[in-house]
Amino acid sequence: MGQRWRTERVAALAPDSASAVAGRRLARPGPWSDVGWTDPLIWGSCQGSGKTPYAVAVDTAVPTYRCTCPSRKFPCKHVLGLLYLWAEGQIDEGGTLSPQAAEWAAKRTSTRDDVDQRSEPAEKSEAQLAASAARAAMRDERVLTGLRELDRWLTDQVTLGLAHTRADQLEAMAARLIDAQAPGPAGRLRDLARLPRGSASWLESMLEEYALLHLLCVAATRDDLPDELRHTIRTRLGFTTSRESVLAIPPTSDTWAVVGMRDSDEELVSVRRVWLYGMTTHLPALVLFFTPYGSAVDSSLVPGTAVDADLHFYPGRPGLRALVGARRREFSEALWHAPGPPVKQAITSWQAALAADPWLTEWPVAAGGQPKVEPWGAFADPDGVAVPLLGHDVWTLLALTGGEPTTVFGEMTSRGLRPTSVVLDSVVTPL
Amino acid sequence: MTTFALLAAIAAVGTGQRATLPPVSAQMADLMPPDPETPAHALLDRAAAVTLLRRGNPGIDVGRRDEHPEQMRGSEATRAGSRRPTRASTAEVHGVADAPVAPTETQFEAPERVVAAVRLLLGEGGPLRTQADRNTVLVEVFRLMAERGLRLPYRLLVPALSVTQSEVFAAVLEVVGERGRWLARLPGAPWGRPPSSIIDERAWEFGTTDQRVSYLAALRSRDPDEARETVELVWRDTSVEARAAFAHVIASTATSSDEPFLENCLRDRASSVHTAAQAGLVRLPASAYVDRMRDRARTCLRIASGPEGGPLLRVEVPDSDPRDGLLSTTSTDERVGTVVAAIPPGDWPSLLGRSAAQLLDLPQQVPIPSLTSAMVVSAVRWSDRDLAAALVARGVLDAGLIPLVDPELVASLVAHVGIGAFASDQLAVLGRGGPWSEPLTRSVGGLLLHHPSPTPAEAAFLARGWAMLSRYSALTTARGWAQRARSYADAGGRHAGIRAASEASSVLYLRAALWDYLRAIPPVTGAS
Repeated sequence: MGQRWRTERVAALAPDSASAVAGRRLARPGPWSDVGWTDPLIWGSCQGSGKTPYAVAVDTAVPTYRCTCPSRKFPCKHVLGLLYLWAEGQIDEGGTLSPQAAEWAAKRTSTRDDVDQRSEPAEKSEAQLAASAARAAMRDERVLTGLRELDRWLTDQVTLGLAHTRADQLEAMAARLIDAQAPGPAGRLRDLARLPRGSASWLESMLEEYALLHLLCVAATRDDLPDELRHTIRTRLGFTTSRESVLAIPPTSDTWAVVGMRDSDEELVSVRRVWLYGMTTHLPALVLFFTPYGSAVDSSLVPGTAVDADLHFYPGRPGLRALVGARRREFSEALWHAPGPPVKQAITSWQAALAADPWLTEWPVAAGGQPKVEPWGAFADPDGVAVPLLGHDVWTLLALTGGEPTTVFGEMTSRGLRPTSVVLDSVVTPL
Repeated sequence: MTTFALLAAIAAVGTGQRATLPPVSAQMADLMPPDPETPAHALLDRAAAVTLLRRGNPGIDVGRRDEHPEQMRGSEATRAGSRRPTRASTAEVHGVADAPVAPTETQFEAPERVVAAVRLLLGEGGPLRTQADRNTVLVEVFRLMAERGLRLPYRLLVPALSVTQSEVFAAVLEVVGERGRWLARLPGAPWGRPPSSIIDERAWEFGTTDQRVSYLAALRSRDPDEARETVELVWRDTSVEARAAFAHVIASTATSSDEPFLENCLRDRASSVHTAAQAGLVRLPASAYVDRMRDRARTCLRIASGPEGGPLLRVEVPDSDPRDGLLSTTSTDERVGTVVAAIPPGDWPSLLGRSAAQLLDLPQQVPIPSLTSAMVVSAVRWSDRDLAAALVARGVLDAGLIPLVDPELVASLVAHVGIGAFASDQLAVLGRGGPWSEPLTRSVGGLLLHHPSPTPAEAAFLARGWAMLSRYSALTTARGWAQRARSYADAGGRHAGIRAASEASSVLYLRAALWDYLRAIPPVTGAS
């Protein structure tokens, strides 16, 4: 018998919060008929505003969804409603598979096979390879020119005084960097242009970011750096590494606990960042999913679960971003028995990561200690080494632990630790 | 000033203006290239080195002090007043005693199905569309849980404590268990704080008026006389606003030993202090204040014979006396109302030879509209069932009266008034009387079901009626009414009442389901 999902997992599927709310609202028996569950399929008919009920079906294995409603949201509220209903134990195993759902399931199995066959990359001709090498060299040259201009601009700004800097100047410089094909620093300047000027920390944040950009310009123009660092710098400049080349890198195998997830909407795309932590290797990893705004976000990694899988780390130090390769087994719970490393060690690992990549903004860590409420909001190990706790989930952390010592997983940043999961009775529990 | 702040200050005006940079530490020198081209390069190199050093030390104090460092060392009182979380830095955590840990629970966790329903109600989802509906059901389920000694699981503490409506928050505090109450009291918490049982004298000495009032209220519940004496000590040096607030604390829990203090308040300069004191004195039937009111009632209300020989209620205007609340600016009617409201209902036979109810029926020489509302105030204050029944029988509906009278009486009144009653605010008070009795539920429901083709105005009344029925109907009958509301809505029609009935059925089904989950668990004796 298949395992029901937790409602959090259903919530994670929603393309936006409005859909989540609408789905929740449909999670009551009233509008539903002919519901059933035969692992991995769930199906039902939902009475909407029209005369004919919508036929809804979900294959929880992949997962994929189908609904006959005209909504362009994916998955739509009917799918979410059905999943909520199921997750809350209101759909029992069994029931007669509706003809529509059966037909859809059959069709799905055949297309899945097609997809697998299609994924062979096409061989490139020699001429094509030469052309792409020339394009790459041209881009390198444009980026370098852009960075020289950026460094000149930064020093000009500092000579004239940051107090005179206007947001539109930052936007203009960012646009020139986009033209120079250096989206990395362009994005950092854009973020800076949005900083509220009134705040007391504005000036220090500006100088900090200018200094880091200056460092990036200096580092990028040096040719005496080790390969790993060059990779890191190229990533920070916005060069991408193809999926295929990452998947060609030998993987690291472990059972990875999914210890955190954060979604953010950027221009035109939604970004889901998933933090993983190797249960044996104790390596942290970050898996990113990009999806066009409004469509279904990948939900193959669910906080609180664990997966035995191969991770292919992107080149560069510190190894953090990774792609999931072969998946062997999934665990509905991530068990964690040993006490986490002390806070001091978590800080040391952040420092080591920062030494390898000074532009890093957050670093996943595990830390054993105790939340302190007086003075407010710190996490301290038995030796008294402590970091401030950041973010709203601090209150959930206090609610779940009652202030007792525990192990937390979270993002270490320059300002402190933002907790994302906590170990309760040896189970990694998302906050 | 830290090195970084110094660098930022120079960068703000520009190295073109100020080219002298702070010295370089050995740690920084390791991270900097030699021979910068210009002062601007030199500044950026140094800033980059310091940035790396301070980013690598989260929480350690290297110049990134948080916004309000004084709060970290401030007294409990100032911290309590601040909604802004203060952040610790490593330096201050060292050597601090272990943080308090939440106490052991004394309540059991609620059954999973109840928890699932509460989770839905606390979120935006679930079958109930409006926040008002969700709040009503939440308050009800929390009350049922508290009666049964049940608490919410830890996972729901933060969403539960984050409710903003004060009525719901008060109910939440009963079901969050020891850990929830611990969490609610933590400094810097983003939610409202429960009334503190800890009496901190610093709040009285140095706090804001609100903090001083909380202190006084806590002290008053522990030692009423000491609380009064504490107020008397500072009375002369206290602002008008605070005097009125303190007088209110004493007045709202007044006993005969507070009478001298409250009488003194009547000689205060401020009318707000008079008003607060009067509200306390009127609760003391043996007080000089109530005696003065009795004298006034005797002189200004007379039963004379009317033109047709029957009795007639005659009124003379009571003399104005601002300290007793009889202001010279008010009308005869208002002054009579003030006097009547201050008389305990049982005193009327000895004052005028008629019961309070009989007085209501006497023809009045000049109309005294305030007489009825004053009688309501008095009936509610003294929980006088006879007077309450007399008032309701005469068509007066007031939230305070409903608990005092036979439910059948209210029910028959509702049936008598008919559907038009939903137009007025008169029936809205039924909601404030808490859950309805079964007869009242039946009576309201009966009105709603028997209007198959209402006019648009009537449909609007029906919608209001269904909304009220869904929230206030007796819990024991919720399932039956849910089914009736559903079939009423399904029967068709396109008026506002149909839609309201459909939503009412959702609310009622949920209330019925929660009741089914909880009815089997016996209430705990002595539960608050």
